[in-house]
Amino acid sequence: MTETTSDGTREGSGRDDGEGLESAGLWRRFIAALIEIILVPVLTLVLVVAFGVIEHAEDYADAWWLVHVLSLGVVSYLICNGYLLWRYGQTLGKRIMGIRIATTNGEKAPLWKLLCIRFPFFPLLYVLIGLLDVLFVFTRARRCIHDYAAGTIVVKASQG
Amino acid sequence: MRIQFSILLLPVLWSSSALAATCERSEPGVEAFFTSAWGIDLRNTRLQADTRIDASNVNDLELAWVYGLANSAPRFWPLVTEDTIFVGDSGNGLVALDRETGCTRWTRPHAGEIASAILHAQIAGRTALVFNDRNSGTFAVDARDGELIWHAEADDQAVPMYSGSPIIGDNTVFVPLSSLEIGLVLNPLYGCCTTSGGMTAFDLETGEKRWYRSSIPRPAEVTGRRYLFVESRGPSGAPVWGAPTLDQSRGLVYFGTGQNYSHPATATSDSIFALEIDTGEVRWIHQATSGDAWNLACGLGGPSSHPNCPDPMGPDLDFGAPPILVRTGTGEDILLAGQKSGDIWAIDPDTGEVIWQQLVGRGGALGGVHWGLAANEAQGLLFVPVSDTPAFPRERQPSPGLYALDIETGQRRWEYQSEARCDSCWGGLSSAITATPDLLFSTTLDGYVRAHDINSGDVVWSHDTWRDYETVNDVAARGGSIDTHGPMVADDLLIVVSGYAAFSQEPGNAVLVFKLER
Repeated sequence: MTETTSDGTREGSGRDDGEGLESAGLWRRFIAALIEIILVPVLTLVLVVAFGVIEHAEDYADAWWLVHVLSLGVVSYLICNGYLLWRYGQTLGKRIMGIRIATTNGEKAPLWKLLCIRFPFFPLLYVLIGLLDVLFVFTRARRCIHDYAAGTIVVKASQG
Repeated sequence: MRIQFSILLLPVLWSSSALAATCERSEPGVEAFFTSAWGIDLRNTRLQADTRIDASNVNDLELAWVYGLANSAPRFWPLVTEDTIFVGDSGNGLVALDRETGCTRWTRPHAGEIASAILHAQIAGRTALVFNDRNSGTFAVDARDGELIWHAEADDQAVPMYSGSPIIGDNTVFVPLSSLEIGLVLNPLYGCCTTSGGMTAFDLETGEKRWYRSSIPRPAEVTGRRYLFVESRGPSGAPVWGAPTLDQSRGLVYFGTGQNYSHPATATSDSIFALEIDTGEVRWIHQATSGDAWNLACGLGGPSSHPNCPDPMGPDLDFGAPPILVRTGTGEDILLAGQKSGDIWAIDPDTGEVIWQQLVGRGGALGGVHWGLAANEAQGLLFVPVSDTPAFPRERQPSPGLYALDIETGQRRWEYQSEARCDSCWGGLSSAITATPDLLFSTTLDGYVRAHDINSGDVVWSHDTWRDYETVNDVAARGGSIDTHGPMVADDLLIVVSGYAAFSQEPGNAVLVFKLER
């Protein structure tokens, strides 16, 4: 898959990547990604608050709240991008920036490929590494994901 | 040739190091113990009579060996037998060390935080060690090899925290409970708060729950709403941070509570409770401070800065130190309790009525009195360590140090002001203290261990722990702030855990074992 401007014009000095297509400019891609980096977590946060999945003590009695937050991240992504992905093979950010996702043949990418192969990378970036990492501090072990990765623990503590 | 020799030598060096760290005999002796509870005895007097250390030989105390812990905020209190010292090396495990050399008899791997005194008991003919993991409950393991006997968790609250030490009596393990909510509130999307502290009683043989008593009798209700969806709730809190005290003659268990986490405040926060040992029914409650609602969100600037900080914000004046049951020279029993406000309360154990009250120190969110008092009934003295750490301080002058009060009247007999070693240090006494018949051992937030004369408070021996130590287990160790459970005195040993970085104190990870050299 590659990305082209939606009007088909060439942009930037990107290289051809099969079938004579030229990839979209880095700045357009960057701004499109930035839009989603902001929009998806913000919508996730709204849903997290609305559904109260990290609001009650019971939510922290086990690790299911992490699954709930992750699921809401997926839902947020689909709310922002679902229709555009299905109809045009575009995310909201790409739609705004006038670029799209295409197969290396220049055709619209199949929705199942976008959702099942390409899409899972983004929740990982937006939610798992970002929000969940921080929220891990509220687990009983009080270790963030980066603590688990590095084998470290943050020392805190009190009576009273 | 030199390289080849070094390579050949490496396995030899490695094996000698391993031999030095591992004892030839793995099974600890479990015939003699020197403590029965966090408070040395079930009444929590913190008076250690079973020691050879006294005023005449205290200067013969020498550092015998040092063990390096895996973390820099240790919260365990060791247990000593005739030949073994058990330590809670959080992140590594429960470790049995040889008393003489510090070699390791066995290690029971334990990933969590061993955060209490390590107690001993007999369970079905086995000598057991009982301790709390701060997050995952109470464990009983076989003292001979560390094998798990049972593991019990309190299931009456959603996010219990096991910060206080348990106490064992009447074939029951009494476990104080606080709540993780005090920290969950830092999340502004969290709807503070619904859980409370309490006391739970587990059967010593099986770990099954006998009873549970919440420190707040009524369930939390919705008290407000923000961000359209997030609901504030209360009442909550009144956690139990300290070890309970057993009064077997009256059939009562006493403990102190902390502040409420959210409004409405209750009549059970910052209080001393007396419960029936058999049933957990409330005999009486004495509340020292009313209207005190506070949680860690208040540390971020108060109610105007964080939606989960209660408004109005209370002063956070827990009873963190366990009450002490003493008998006066006239044969009267008195319950003595120290509060983070710096107030000392003498309470009638039958009724909960106040006999006398005395103020020592400025008080604040980390004390005033923080972890524990000690008493010497024969001398008629109550010893009071004062931290006066500048954390949400009260509007008085700080006076960190050590105070001796008359048990019967509360009158001050002597005081010792603890000066800080440097401008950025705090020389307060936050940790619990330990008395002997003629000495008093204290530890300070700036890393000193001191022995005091009980009649004057004068320092008769001291050791500065702010330095690096070589260790018996080859873990680099450094002393730091000394906090939490304070010094352990047993037989000819003084054991101090130096380092506690939980509240920005000086980190450290050294278990120091001092021994009488003559």
